[in-house]
Amino acid sequence: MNIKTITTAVLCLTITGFLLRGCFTGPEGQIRKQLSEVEELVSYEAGESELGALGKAKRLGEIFTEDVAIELTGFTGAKKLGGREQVQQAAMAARSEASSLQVSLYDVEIQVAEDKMSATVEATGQAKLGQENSTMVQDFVFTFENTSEGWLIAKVMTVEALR
Amino acid sequence: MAVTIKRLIFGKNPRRTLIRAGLVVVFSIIIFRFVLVTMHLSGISMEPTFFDGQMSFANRLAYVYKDPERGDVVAVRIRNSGRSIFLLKRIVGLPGESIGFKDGKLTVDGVSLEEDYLSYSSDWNRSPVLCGDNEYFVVGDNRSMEIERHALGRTTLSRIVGKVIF
Repeated sequence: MNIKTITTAVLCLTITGFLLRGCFTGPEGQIRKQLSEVEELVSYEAGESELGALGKAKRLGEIFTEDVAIELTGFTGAKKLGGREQVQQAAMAARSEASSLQVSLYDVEIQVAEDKMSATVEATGQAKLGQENSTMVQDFVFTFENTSEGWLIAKVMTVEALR
Repeated sequence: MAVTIKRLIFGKNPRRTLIRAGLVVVFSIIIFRFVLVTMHLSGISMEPTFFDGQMSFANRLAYVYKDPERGDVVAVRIRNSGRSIFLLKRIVGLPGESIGFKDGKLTVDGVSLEEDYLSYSSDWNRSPVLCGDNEYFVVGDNRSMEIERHALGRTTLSRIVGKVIF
């Protein structure tokens, strides 16, 4: 076997691996991907263009179900959002409250229901606000639903770490 | 030259050096896996005792044989299964005590308590809450923050990861 054959074989195997991984990502993988999207779309840098912000808010809305229910308590104060549009509006409004925001989710634990139609996700969110140089930490419980559009967030609730 | 470098790295007895290096690695793994928690601090709630961006260590074994005491700075798990993010707080309330804040002063069972580790003034007011049998009240040292933006309250012993050493 010459080096060309070996290189071709390795390349084919790698591509096949990626394709198989992409095609057969289970519910957990798809949910993790959605959460990564949330992290990316909720976060923004200082000086972000309005068009860019609008695009991100639109994409963010698409990760939630039409009738999503969000109940937040804690640092941000008590907030209730209902529906995809309100999520998009809140994402835009957040940009006027801090110059930049970096959101990360840690310790993500996913429990998929037996019928594979819903899942409960626990995660710890960390938000870094640029201008204020402050960090906020909050525990979240997400409820995902398996819809025709894929796994979408149907409910978000905050959980108090200290009571 | 090559012999000198080899001697410098492996010493007179390479086998002994390797054993020593192995022991150091094993010892470090044990220390950082089971004894110490390394933390990179983020946030201002413990200022001026601890600052944003500082490195800190907590001793996991501190409460194996004794209970936490008032004044201890501890690392608290956000939720029972949390592994990555901890809250760094000071214990101000012990099991069975009623903890509140009045005009910026901590009250324990209705009595105002002096806290010599505080540097910033505070105007916090919060109704007393009773700590359960296994609960501790924790709060940061930076009480000049708005109380709404400061994580404080009761936690259980199982969520206390360890006592902060420095």
